[in-house]
Amino acid sequence: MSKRDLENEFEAKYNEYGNMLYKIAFLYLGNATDTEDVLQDVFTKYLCGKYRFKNSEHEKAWFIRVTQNKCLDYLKKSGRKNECIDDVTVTATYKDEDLEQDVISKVIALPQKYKSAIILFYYNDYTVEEISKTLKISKSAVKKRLQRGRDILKLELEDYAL
Amino acid sequence: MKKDDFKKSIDNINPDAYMGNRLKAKITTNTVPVKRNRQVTLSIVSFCLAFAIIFGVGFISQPQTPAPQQNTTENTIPQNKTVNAFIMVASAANSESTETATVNKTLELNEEYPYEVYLKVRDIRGLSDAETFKIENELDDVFNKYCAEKKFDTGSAELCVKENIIMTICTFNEFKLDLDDAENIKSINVKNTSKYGQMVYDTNKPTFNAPEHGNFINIGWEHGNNLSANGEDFDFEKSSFYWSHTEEMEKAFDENINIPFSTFNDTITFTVEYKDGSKAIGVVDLVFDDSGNATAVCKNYDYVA
Repeated sequence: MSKRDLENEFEAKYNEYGNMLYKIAFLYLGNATDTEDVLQDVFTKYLCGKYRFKNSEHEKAWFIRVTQNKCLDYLKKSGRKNECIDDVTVTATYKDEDLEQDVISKVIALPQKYKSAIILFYYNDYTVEEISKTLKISKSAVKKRLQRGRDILKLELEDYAL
Repeated sequence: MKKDDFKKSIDNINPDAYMGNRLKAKITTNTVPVKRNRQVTLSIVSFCLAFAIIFGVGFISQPQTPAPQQNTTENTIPQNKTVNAFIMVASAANSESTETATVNKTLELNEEYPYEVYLKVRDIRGLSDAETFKIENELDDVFNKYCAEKKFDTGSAELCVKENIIMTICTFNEFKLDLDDAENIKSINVKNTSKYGQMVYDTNKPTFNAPEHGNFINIGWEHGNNLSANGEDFDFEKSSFYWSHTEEMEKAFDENINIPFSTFNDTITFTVEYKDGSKAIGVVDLVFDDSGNATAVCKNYDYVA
């Protein structure tokens, strides 16, 4: 593979998944710098490993799963539980609108195990079954996580109950 | 809170417009490997090696006792001497007998970085996607485990998912051509015999080191069963060779997961032709054991004046 080919491969995958993976990683990590580091690891792993996938869904699930795992590793290594988010960092990264800021802050503050399910279900429109396959957990576990995550968000965001 | 509001909020999380370019630059052009100490060590040893064998060239391989040679000159590795590498000495007029010392030096280098291949295959027939993913992760962990256990200069893993099987193949280290007098080389040729394997000519390494596992991304490479390069074009500072499997191997496993690993044994022949017509030829065997592990061993070395 020439350097050009490698760059093309990166661009293709980044254009396809970069935005989605950034949102997921940001919601785990809470700041742009760490998120970029994790995405670098994810795309490096992909390009380095020469993975071959059954189909595009398989590939997408791999990227999501690896991003989630990299984020958890990152948090573990840095000793952060991520319950406390640097407001300055967060505010600088998205529009400073109260509701939106609060939604993001609350999602970032969610317990880690609820995050992926919540993001995939509410943002990526995955079904429970698809989340189950992607995260390799049972459907009932997905439902529980969604329910608990939803309960926390509702509770935390009751001022904006719509 | 409605789903649309949630989406609208999350939609506002976006990377800046330049992040893609930054990542691309870091991933494809970064030249600072994490395992810098090993690289530096290698460079130092390579430099000493080149200095020691003026007009010399060396290939790195694996421990073995070289076979008795016919039709060789004084440059041949001494018989019955256990060596971990073979040296291909150029035909230059002043290539006097420094080969013993050179072999010893290369031997030390090679003990630390033997060329190794690890092949693992798992049957996924009848398994659910979730079960397949689990196996995929397990195989992924195999490479991480090897990385944690082994000493290596370069390494890579490839995961292939077929209809019936998942296979992962990990390779560690490389065949490096160490040369001091590129101007005396007419051509370099590398061949392998198995259709299940191919040689990769890595022309621009290392370019990037994955932080977690220390494996390099190599850019600028050619591959095939018969690779040639002109001496003038060959970049001895950066170029190296390594063995890689072909899709034929994946197909073979997909059709019959019980195919013996020995089916994939390969023989690699390195030939360096000098401008004065002499040739140095090194042969390396890659032999898989019953577990799918292979270590390259030097089978033969010859120098034809």
